[in-house]
Amino acid sequence: MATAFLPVLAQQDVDRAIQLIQQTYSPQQRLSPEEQRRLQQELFEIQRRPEAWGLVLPFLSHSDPNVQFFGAHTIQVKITRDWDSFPQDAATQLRDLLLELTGRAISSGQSKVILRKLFVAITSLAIKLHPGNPSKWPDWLRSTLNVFSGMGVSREHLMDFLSIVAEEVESADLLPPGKAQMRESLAEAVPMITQAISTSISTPPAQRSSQELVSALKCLQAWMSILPANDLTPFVPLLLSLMVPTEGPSLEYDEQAFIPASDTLQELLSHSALSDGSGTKTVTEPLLLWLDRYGNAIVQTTIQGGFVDDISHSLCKLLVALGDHSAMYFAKNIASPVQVAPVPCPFPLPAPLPLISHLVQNFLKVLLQYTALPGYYGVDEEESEMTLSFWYLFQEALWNVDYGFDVTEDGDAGNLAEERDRDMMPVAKAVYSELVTVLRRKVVWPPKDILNRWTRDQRDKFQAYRRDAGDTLINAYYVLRDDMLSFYVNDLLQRLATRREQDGWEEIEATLHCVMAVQEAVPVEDSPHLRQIFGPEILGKLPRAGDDRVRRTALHLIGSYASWFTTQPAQLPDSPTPSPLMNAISYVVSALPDAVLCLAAANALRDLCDANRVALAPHIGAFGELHAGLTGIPDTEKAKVLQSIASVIQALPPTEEIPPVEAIVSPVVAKLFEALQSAGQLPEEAKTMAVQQLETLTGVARGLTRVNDSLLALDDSPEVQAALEEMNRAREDPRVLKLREGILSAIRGTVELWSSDASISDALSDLFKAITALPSDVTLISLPPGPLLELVCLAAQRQLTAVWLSLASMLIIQLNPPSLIAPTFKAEPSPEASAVALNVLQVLLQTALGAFAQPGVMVSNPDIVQAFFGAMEAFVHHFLPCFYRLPPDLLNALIQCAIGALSLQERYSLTSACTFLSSLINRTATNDDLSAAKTAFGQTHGFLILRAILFGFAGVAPRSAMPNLIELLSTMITRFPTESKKWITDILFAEDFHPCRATPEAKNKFIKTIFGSRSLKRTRDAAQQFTLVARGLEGSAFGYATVTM
Amino acid sequence: MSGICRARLAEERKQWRKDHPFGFYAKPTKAPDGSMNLLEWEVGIPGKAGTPWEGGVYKLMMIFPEDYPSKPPKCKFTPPLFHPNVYPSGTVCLSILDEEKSWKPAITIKQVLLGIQDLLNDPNINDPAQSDAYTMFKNDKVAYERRIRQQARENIPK
Repeated sequence: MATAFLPVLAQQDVDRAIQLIQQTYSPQQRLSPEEQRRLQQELFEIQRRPEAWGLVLPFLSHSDPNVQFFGAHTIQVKITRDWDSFPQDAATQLRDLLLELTGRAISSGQSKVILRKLFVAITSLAIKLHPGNPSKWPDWLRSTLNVFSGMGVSREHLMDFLSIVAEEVESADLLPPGKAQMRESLAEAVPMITQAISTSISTPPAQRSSQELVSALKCLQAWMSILPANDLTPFVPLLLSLMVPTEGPSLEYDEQAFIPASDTLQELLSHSALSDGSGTKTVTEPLLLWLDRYGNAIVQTTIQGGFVDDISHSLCKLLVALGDHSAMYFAKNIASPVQVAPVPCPFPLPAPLPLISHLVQNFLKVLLQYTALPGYYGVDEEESEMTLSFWYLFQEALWNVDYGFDVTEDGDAGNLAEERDRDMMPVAKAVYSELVTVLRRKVVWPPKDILNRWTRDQRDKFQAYRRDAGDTLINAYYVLRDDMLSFYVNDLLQRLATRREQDGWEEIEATLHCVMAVQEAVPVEDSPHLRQIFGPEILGKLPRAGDDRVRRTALHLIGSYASWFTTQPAQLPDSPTPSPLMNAISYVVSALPDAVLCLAAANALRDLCDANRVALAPHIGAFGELHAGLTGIPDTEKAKVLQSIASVIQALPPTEEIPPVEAIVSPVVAKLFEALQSAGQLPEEAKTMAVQQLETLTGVARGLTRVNDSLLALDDSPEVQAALEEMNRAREDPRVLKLREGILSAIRGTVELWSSDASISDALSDLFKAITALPSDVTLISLPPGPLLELVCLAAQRQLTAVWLSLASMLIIQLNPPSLIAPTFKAEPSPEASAVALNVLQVLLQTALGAFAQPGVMVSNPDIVQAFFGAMEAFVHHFLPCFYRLPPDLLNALIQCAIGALSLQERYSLTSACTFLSSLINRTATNDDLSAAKTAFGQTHGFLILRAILFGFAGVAPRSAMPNLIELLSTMITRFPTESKKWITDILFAEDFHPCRATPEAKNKFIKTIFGSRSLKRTRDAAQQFTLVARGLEGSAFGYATVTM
Repeated sequence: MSGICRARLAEERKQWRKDHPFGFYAKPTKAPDGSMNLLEWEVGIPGKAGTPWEGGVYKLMMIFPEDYPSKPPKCKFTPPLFHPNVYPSGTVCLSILDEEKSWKPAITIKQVLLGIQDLLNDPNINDPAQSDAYTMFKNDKVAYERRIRQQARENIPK
């Protein structure tokens, strides 16, 4: 071997490296992780040295396999990573040496791990040498194979090498031309490769090692995405031949051949030129014929033995891959009257050949048997879940397929809709009916004694499986519709009728789970089946004590179908038979006092009451009783129950709402006062109690709010107007006035005592949002914005948070509501509202600007800055003149603060300041009464605003905020055209302009473009271009002229 | 829907079917007649074990624009979530979902959902999307965690 071209390493370094390897990787050494890391690091340092090429030979010829491996690893790493440091004129010598070393390593029987590294090294070298013109190693693949063959390398090792070649070339990080050249070299080798693989597969088992077959099939898998379709099809019968059992008294499969063949077919179905439904004649049909002959027996053995062996597991995976590949074919041919065409198959074909529909239906049957495997998923079997995805894929295929056979195929004219209904849907329905039966059984929880032995993971897995099975059922619903509900109803009736006292509820629970799972697909319309489910025969027979699981599922079921109950006629209070809705309410209410079911019950009640307000309103008396009996219910859920009752109250005429609202709200308010009073003795308990009362009030306020209010707001019909007037009259009732006064005073007490507490402030925020409204949505207990704004100011002065500032924005909008009488015409706010607004504005400005003046506060509180400018924006839109009634110093301080925010790095703060300034300038400029204010504003702040914008472009602001700065720039040059031109020129050409790369020409061009065009788009493009230039980011593709022209 | 968008979403669905993290779900929504809307997916994101989000599975809608994957999907929790980086509308604020920031067409649905799962217990302090959760997170971590646990309880899967 000529090795003189390789750098040489001092013997002591080689010895040290060997020592390191043996220390690090020898199993006798018990090194600490740190020690191991340190040794590895030292080894890598040696390997990184330029002369480390010299390690390869001594390592590879060492007797320790760990050291040998490191030799192979070193040459591969050096080629990949340190190629540039290798003397290029010695590349040919290196190549020859590497091939020779590899050949010798193979013939001396070195382990596959070492060979693998050497194969990777050869491919890496080819990736370095082959691309380019002229290529430095033009026929690299063929010549390598020739060298190996000359050295007597076996087919098994050649296949291993070829697998690595395909994998490494595909994953190589090469530029497109290089990649294309490498791929081309692989494409040229295809005939040789397919020939070699075919030979290995077709060699009789006695004459080949099982290892050779495995290597050949792995190689075929690695080349799968490279081989053209024409070269793939001959492999299908070859692969199937490996899956044919020896015929005899019992069928025996060769596991060593079957499983790799099945893996290869799966790869072919999913990652080759034949994937995604291609090649149905050459792939799907031969597989179906094989399945028709052998598949049933395999699955039967599995079912009888109660155990999925490796062959059966592999078959299941193959079926799933085939389902994924051919779903559309199955859908189209589910009822095909055509006989399958003869195809080359390595097993006897039946005579006559079967119909395609028979083959498809057989596939569905076998797959369904895997879906239906006996036992519990995740505990007894792991296969059924794999098959679920096929069933929704198949439903979608049934919906998308182009139906209809050719006239020659079935003799009729091929009316699409007719064939679908006559021929296909009956078969599809039969299949999905079977699926529904199977899945109902599969989602049954085990009896307690078995479940208690399950681990937490097994339970979680089963729970997730039930969810996925539920999703599969939705697809079945679209096929079966009412028949599916009918099946469940009959199942429930029959099970309830034959149930014995000591029986568990697991089976019934499973059926209820299935009905719940399909809810999203079931239309909201009357259904006799649902009437039965929620009637005395089924819901009426479910347990009301103990048996938590079935009760919880029943509660979830009721909650999911809450809006279905609206399809039923309302029940009169004196009617003897309860309606499904009243049955459901009664079932839910009975579960409320049960601690483990209370959450589910309260949620179901809330959903039911919210959806069925009008139907429940006549039963308000019963809800009064429910309210009176609430003592057993935990406080956490009480809020939801009161919200439920409130939503029923909302359906009453406003004057009739008064007594029940009073009845439910007064105790809550009283309890809140109680909490306030006990704060001195038990502060934590009092606070918790206060939060609960605030949450309850929020729930009530939400319940009392009408649904679909957005429509109502637009509706100025006489009925709506009358309803609003009636509400307003009821609001003036002394009882209601007193109630609102009580609520407000309790809220005031809470703010005064605890506004800085995080939980209280969060609860107050929710309450303020729920208990205030625009006039069209007003309820009996809606509070006016003025007094609440006062409380917000108080809280903000104590602790300035984004919560209070956001609430201020919302309340300011409500302080100037849209007029009810003429919604199209915006009325001016009343002088009283304006006075309140001015006062609030002053307080917020003093508080916030004081806080922002402290160093670092704006930077570290982007939420507060954002909420502050958001509030200012609300003032601009609703109380613009207030800004000009402020003491001039305060207004100036605000604008200076906004200008300062334009240089913040926090995008949210910066954009909110931009938006505020733009709105303020635009609104002021378009308000005739404020023309003097506009001029003064420009004189005082115009220059500084533009300066901040231009500094932002030049590099001060983050690039993601550019659109906002551009918007503000556009506002300035539209509203102050003459001044802006002068200011911008002064700023850009001043000595102290932000240091940037923009030349005077670029600056002039920028000015010329923005003032020459007046279009926002031009301004935007010019500003963007200026930003790139100023920041030195201008690429050759972005010429200044090309952007501005 | 463009061919690219449809093909990519079909492929995403296939990949998801083959391999998705435990406890998550993701499926295109369906019209009442059973036909599928590939542009709108309903997904579920479980809270990580060992965090106050544990036990809850949070429902989110992914709305894909016609020019996906050039543009990112919009991700919206329904109902809106109490979280510093979720807008009051429920829309998630996350750099990998922002076209102006880190969105790349190569980002998969699985990566988006894992990213959102990470965000749940690891909010980004630079993106205040809602004042309520952000303020509480900033000012009182104990109260915040209590509130998150309460939310997890409301989102226990059926």
